[in-house]
Amino acid sequence: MKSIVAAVLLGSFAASVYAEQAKTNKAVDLQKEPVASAAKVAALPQGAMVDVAEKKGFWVKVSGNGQTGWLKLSDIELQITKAKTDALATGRGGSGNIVNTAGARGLSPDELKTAKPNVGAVDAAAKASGSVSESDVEGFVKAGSISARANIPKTTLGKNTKSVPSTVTVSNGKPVQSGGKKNENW
Amino acid sequence: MKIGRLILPALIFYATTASADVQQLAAKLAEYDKPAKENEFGYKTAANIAGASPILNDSVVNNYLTLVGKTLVKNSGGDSYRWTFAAIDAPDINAFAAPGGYVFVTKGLLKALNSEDELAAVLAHEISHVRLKHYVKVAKKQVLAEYAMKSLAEGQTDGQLEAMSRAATLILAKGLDKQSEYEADYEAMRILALSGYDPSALVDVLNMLNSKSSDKNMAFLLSTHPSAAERIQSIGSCCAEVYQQYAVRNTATKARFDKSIKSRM
Repeated sequence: MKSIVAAVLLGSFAASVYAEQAKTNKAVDLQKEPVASAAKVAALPQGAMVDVAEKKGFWVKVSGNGQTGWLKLSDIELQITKAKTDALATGRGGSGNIVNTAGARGLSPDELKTAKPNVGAVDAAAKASGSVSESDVEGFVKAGSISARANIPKTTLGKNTKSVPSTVTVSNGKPVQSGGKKNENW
Repeated sequence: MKIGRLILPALIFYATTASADVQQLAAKLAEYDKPAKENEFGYKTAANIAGASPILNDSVVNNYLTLVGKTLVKNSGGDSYRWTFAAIDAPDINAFAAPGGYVFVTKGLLKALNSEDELAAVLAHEISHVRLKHYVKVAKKQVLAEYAMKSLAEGQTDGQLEAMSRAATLILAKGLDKQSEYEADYEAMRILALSGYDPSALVDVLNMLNSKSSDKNMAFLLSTHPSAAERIQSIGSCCAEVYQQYAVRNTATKARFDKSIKSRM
């Protein structure tokens, strides 16, 4: 029965992680926009099932009970990939995406504890990584249109740091925010 | 009463010598906070990882891991570590860091990743364990405890290098405390944001891990980390708010991720 359900679910959901269902893990407000200060669309109880339509950073757009709005990723648990994974693990995936790599052994805590050190392998890996130069990294950053950002505050345990950097740049290189105000995007 | 009179001075004598030994040992262990010693025992720890499972014999994959890893290191301010990034040829879904700057990602985990941002999230978490010296701190504590008992019996305070790498390997097998994992997640998001990657990719990786929690290749990771759901919760309450504005996915890296990772798994 479980496998039939899994097979049916498999057929009806796309590969994208976010095109699926989610369950709220606490009572939460569905919001109009992915911003903390946005208007409340509806109150959802803990355990409410919603369809996930879109992801935007740490927010997801969901719909359920005929209403659509935004929830924080930390307020939901995505559901369907579980069934998808179970089906794959039992060989019912049909996608050819076999879970185990042929030939390679699994790695267990006991194996790690009793392992015979392989210094040669580490030397080889260190040499290979060492051969990647500063200019290789610069080229890689440039080719990937990656832009470093500055002044991002350290978040320490138990503290909710709300200060923002004085200048923030996104990947197109244009500064999008300045000043030290509280971030309103959450 | 008579016996008590005899034993008490003996005990005091033992306790005093032991504590002198322990102090001496603590001073020796403090050396492991310095780069040279940290690298020395981290290298031995890395050799234990490589001894448990072979390093993937694919220079394209290992080179790509190194480029992403060194981008994170450079763009987040740099440090004095000589970083090594490599894939491990195991079906498990896991990643490991050893002191001194050794980072390993299993083939099983690489296979489950979808983008350079997600790979960067995994590497940033491991880089954070190294920079925050999580394994150094716990290994020092364990070795000190172990030697405090040993020195009582044998008066021995030598051989810390072996003991430190053995302790670090044991911690890799048993897992750090939850707080250290959460701390590595927070720092990973900061490194991602600084580096120009999407910090919310870490949550995507955690959701992927959560979806595979019944997979046998997840057993090791699950036994050593808080659940993915707990980690997402902790990110939500700690700092998702701070990082939302940097959650921009870069599509310019898709082709090279597919070429260097996806097509080679």
